Amino acid sequence: MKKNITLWIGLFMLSALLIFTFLGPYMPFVDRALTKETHRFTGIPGKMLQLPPFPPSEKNPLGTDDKGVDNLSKLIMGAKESIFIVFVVVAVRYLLAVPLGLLAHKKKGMSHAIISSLHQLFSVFPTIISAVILLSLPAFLNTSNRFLWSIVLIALIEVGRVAYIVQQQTHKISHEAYVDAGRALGLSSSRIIRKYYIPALLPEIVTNFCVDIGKVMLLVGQLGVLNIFLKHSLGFDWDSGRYGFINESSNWFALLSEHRWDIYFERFAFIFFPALAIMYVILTFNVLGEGLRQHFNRKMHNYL
Amino acid sequence: MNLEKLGGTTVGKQILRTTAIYFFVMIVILLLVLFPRTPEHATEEVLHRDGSTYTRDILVISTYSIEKHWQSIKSFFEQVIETKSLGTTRYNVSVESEIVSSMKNSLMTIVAALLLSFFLGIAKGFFDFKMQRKKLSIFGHWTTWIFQSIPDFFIILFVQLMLIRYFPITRFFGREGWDAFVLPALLIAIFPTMYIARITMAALSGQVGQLYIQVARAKGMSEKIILYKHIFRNCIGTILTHLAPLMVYVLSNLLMVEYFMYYPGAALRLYQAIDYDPQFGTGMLYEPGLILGITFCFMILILVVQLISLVARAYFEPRMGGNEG
Repeated sequence: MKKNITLWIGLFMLSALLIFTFLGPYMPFVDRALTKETHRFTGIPGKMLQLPPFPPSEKNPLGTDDKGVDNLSKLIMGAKESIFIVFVVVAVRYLLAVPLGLLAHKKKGMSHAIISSLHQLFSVFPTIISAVILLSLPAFLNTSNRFLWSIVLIALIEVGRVAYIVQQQTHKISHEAYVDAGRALGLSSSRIIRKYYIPALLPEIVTNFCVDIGKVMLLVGQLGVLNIFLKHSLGFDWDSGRYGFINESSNWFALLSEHRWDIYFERFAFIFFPALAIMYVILTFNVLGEGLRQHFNRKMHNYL
Repeated sequence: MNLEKLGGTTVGKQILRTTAIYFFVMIVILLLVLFPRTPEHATEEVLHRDGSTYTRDILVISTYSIEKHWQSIKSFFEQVIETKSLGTTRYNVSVESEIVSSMKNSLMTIVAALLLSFFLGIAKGFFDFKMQRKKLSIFGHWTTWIFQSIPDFFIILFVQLMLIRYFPITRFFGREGWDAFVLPALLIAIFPTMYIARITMAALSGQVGQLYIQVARAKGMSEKIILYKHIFRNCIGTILTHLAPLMVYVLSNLLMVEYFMYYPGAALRLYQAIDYDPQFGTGMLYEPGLILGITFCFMILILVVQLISLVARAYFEPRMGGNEG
């Protein structure tokens, strides 16, 4: 059996990501408290007092923001939450979509109607615009459970598509000759599900799950760029002196929206890093998904 | 003759079905856009610094009831019928003129990006397919892959930085002239191109080993003719089914590109009309007429592309029973 390089690269990238996420905060150069450094004295004559944002230095490899918080620490501390949000969205989506798709495998009935209307509704319109319209509904804007609602809404946008894939696949399997043969032999339905349906469905679901993590990462990143936060509160922001929605978390999407204004002052330095982190995650899961697909395809060929 | 008729009716049926779906989607969008948003007075208890509390009036939009929703829909349509207009925008212009002007700004970009991504994507798919068997396959589908994984905002940021730093002669924020639509069209086309390239590559790979290819080879046809005439003919139907999703991707990238370039196009205007501004919250400058108008225009665009894809498939794909029979 030839080695599956794609899968190995994917696994390597995933483990690097996990190390960065879970061990990163305990590294010595990371400021876990994200302290604000309001000023700094340098020994250089003529430039004794330095005000934030501080340029990249040995202490702050990526510089600091205009409140004096270390950018690298912000990036590392935000990793866990960013990945968690995306993972939860995709998990909710699959928890809703897989049972729906399985229920509708006969292509009729209530669940079929739900799937096809959801699928049609959101597939004819850009997901980002659907997400903006849904997330700006007043009912979800001012509730205290905004975070929960926004996760459900973003998950819901593509439930139809995922359920449709599951439905098609299940429908195809249920018409295969070997399933009919199993039925004719009088196998119990639990055994048919365990031995016939799940092995045939699982590869598709697992690979699609990986690809979807990338898609949701992109979507939430785009929302961050558009200043739409999943978690916010209404109040007065003392730092910028404005009243409005204040972002409450330090995930990468919030960093994107926070630093987007820098580009108008030709300060491109930091904005790339959250975008790069998002790109790395998308790439990791795309490579992993493709690797898994190849892995499962080969396994199937070995059986035949 | 009989087959032609059959093909004709199925295409007609599909066109009807597609139009019905778009009608349904438009109704759902109407319900969402005309969600009740009029603010109401409420009181809030505020804790003073010295520990005492006082109440103050605030505006909230959080309560929802079906009557309010119905009222909001009714008043919107009453106003539309009365004034024969979708309303006025925040700039005191009629909504229709604003829709027309912003769509005019975007349409060129959309069409250019769509055509560019479709043809370039097919070319890239062929390239990837041919590269597959060579040692240089790393430049084939791997590049497609990496480009597909780059977030669009990252590419735009990067291009913006490069142009401003190293090619200041290019007008990144151009409003008119050729560079006002060439650069956005190129930026928008990147992701959809890679999408079509992957579809093309998968479709071409799916044909490998089919009997008709072996027959053609046995007859002594050159590989070029087999690939471009026979295999491609069998794949074009599959590729064409992805024309509508392609348009959806183009439109979603359009928002990002217009947002970063501050280009006064339809997608940016739609986003502005939703009035999601963290400085003020949402609601005060909300323009339902404009949102409905622009979403309607977008849907028409996607619908037209879908109908083109249906007709083109009927024409190109022999199995669908078009004029080829």
